[in-house]
Amino acid sequence: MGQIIGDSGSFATWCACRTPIGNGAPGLSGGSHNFQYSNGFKSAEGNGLFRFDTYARLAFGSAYVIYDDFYFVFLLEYATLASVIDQKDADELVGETVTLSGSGSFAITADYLTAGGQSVSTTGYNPITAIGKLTAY
Amino acid sequence: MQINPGAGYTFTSSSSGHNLNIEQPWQNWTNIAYARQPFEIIEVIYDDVGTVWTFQVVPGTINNVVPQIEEDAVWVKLDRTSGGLPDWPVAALTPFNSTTHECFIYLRIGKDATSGDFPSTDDTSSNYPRIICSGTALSDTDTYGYVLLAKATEGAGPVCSVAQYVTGSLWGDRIKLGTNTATYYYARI
Repeated sequence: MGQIIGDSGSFATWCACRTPIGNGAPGLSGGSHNFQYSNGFKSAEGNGLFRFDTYARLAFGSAYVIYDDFYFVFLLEYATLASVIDQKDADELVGETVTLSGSGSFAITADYLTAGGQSVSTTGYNPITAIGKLTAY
Repeated sequence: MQINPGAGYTFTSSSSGHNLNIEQPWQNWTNIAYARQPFEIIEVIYDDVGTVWTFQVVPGTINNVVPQIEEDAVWVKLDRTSGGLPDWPVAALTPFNSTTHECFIYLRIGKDATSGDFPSTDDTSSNYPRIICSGTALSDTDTYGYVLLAKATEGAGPVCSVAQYVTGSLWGDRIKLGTNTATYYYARI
């Protein structure tokens, strides 16, 4: 038995299975079939969105990265709990440069997908202003 | 015995008998009423009195919402009935571009001003899905997404032809990233 697409607020449409990467928070608002993201990053290629796990959509809303300038940690939130972005896309970001306010920067390592996140040594602070090949919005 | 004229056959009758000849091509399926598709433009007729083309749109849905069309300055849902029978509204096919003589027929869809749902389900609001005509091509905005259903081209005579681009009900999503203009995605069902 198939499912009819378009069920309000769930994972039943194409757009519900795609996400940009939020900056410090999900930043998602809107309504049924209306997804509004406050600020974050999109890919320069394609439609700018990343494939997103349906469970993650229901549980977390959207994907986002955090730079914690108190503990000096950078991570992709919920990365250990669900495929908040497709693994291939997540791997593509390894090696990209994160630029912070205050001109600090660092290169992303695979640790950003772990529970403890990636330890960072930088003089920069929140918010993140740029991530390598991604485009800020 | 009497058979009235029709497509696909001829009938002759004389004192020596009756003759029914069905050795002719079938009528094109698209001309048969029950084969009409959602959002198909039909009944494009020139109104000599009003000197304007009029048309109807076969009812369809966007996210299960039936759009409206303007009939005599009143916005009416496409699937209007009267006494249990179809009474689909008739709208003016205007304006035509003065240079290209084209008129674009769009499905215009906005998000609900209160709930944020897409599309709006408030049928008193301009954000509710509506069929509109334009003499120029339209682009999406934060307020409205536009789906080009068909394009009419007018000629002397008067004559008018319609190129149909959408022939099915739709599901759609609206995505807005930061200050970028909202993007609209549709799938035909």
